[in-house]
Amino acid sequence: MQPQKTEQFTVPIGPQHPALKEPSSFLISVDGEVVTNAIVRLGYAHRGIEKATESRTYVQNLYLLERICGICSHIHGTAFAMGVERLAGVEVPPRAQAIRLIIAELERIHSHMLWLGVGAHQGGFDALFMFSWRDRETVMDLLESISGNRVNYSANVLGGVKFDLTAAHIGDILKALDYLEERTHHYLKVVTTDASFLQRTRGIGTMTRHQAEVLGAIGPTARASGVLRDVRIEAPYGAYVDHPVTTITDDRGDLEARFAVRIKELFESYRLIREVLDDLPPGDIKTRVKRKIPEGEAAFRVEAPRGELFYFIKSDGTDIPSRVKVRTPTICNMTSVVKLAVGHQLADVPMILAGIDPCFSCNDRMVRVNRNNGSDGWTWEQLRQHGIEYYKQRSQDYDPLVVG
Amino acid sequence: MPTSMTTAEAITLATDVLVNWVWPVEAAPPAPDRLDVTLKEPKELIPMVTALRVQRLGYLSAITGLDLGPEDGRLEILYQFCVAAAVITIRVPIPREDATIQSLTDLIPGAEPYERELSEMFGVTVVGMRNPLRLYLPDDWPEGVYPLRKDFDPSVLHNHHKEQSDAAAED
Amino acid sequence: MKFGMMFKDVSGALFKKPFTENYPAEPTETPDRLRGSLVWDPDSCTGCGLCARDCPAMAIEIEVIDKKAKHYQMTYHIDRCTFCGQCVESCNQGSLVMEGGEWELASLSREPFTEVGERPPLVVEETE
Ligand code: SF4
Ligand code: SF4
Repeated sequence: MQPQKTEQFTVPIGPQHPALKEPSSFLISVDGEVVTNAIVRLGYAHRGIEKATESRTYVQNLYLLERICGICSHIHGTAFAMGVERLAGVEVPPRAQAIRLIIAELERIHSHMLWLGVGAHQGGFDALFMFSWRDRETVMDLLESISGNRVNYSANVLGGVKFDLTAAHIGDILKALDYLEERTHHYLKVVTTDASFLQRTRGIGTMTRHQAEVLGAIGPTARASGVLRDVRIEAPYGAYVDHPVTTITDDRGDLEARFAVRIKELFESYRLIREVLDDLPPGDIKTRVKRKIPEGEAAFRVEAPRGELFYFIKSDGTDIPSRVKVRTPTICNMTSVVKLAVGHQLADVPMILAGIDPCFSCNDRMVRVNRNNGSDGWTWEQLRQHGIEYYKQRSQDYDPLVVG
Repeated sequence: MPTSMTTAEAITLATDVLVNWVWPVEAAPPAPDRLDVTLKEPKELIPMVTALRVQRLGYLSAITGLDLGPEDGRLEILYQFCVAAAVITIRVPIPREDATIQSLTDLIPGAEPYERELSEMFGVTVVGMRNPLRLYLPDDWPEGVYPLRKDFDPSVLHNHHKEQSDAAAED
Repeated sequence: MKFGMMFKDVSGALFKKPFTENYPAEPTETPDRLRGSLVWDPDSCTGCGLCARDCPAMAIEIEVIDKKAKHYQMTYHIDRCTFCGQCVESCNQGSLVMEGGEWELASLSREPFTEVGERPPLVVEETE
């Protein structure tokens, strides 16, 4: 089929915050109000982290990699630390594993609540956005009092964790979980029954089970389409071996299902944290790891709030890794967004985008560009001209390309 | 269903499929839950991946590029498939100077972003890619500069941007 | 299907005081573990430099001025510090503490945020 050029109109969405307040650019071709093609372009938050790991020691990299994402920082640190521990052949004490699990689940709670707010905001439901974020503050305060940092908790060291949980912390966590559980029941009811909100979510952005499998969707996005893909179940790591997770799936595959799956996952996290706190293993919280890591390769997978996070670490026997590959969950789901948008109203695109819980900083990692090294900046007119040329060029360049 | 397969079963089946069915290749399990298959030639990639797909064995989790360095003169491309806890890696060594590989997008549409990343970061020509645009790197990134190769020199960028802003100043 | 599911929350909030804190005007409570600016104890430091080596942000410099007299100088660039706490982990003398309660680190001045601490040289007593 050769679409007539005159009927096509390309709407650039982004690079300034297309869905979340993070940069990425989508070129959406529309026919009237209906999306006919969508192309994604990332890299606006690219910081060169993968390359930078090759010039830092393992200890320093732990903190660098944690900064790939501010929302799921702990899980990045955990994946890297566990990969390195596997290479070094170090056994981490059970108490440290349990604390890692608790922080990871608290992080999942805060991430899902954050997403609930953002999703609601995209759908124009700001009351839900405000209240869910207010309740998210409970988790943030918990994490702050346990770790000492509100974001980037830096809980991990190679060989264990930095801090222990005191009886007071455990009491605080249990109290907060009770409150959150009650609120979460309320939110689940809101997103599944509120008529005005359902109009924005029911039957929108539907991804069938088959599509999810073929497009390689992962995490809650895949689970909302009925694909059971959860690393905590498929390949349990750390304390998940002793504390199995039940996954929540939904067959509908639309935005409503994605809301429901994520909210139901919160209950699972609450249950898991209670279970682990109930019999927290006693003992040390760290072991020593030598600075030089033996030669070898390790692939390590963990379940981040957004889905499977894949780390590949290659060591050449020194204290600096030879290669660290990070495959973050959003990039897998990005392909699905692009395909799902076709055939929908333009106004639904931000909702569909928000539906996969994209995290662009996660995506964009590898190369840092020092722009404008020359001191002369651009004038406003130059900038405007450049912008016009740029998009003109791009829509011409992009048009003949087929996605999917 | 692949999801109900245990890790050990997956490794056995993958060894069977990759090592015995298609044609003999080098295979090594570096850990009980891993299987590394090293291909002799890049053209063996498609049949191997097809064999995995036919068996519905795992999903493509990542494509990792490794630069073995200018002395070695090779790049290694790792296609990592995951089933349960097993990671099945198809390793394809290719020459650094003429780095070309077949695209997987016909078999696995979800491979598109990984391939775009691979080609811009390592300078690998992926034949048959549907969308050969850059994914991460800026539009004005200099041609032929591949940041994740070991001999990447960041000062190239400095000069490149300086030239650009000089050119803009002359306009 | 219902309408106005959040109505009760919203109308209830009208009669409550704001959830947000009026921060600089009213002081805020912070947890004990809150990481703030690093406190260095010169007396126990052995000048091993492990903290400086492990710091991911290159925020610490340890200079050994005179090894015999145990005379060290420590430079701490607070503006580079990411408050990760690795230096505290790395120091096996326990000379570094982050929970000092010094976390209000914003300033209007343009001076670099660098602190320099020095361990005074030991006075070597003359023995007859
Ligand atoms: S807290 Fe982290 S960044 Fe700050 S000085 Fe210590 S090691 Fe460096
Ligand atoms: S690690 Fe501790 S003892 Fe060593 S130089 Fe730093 S502060 Fe001093």
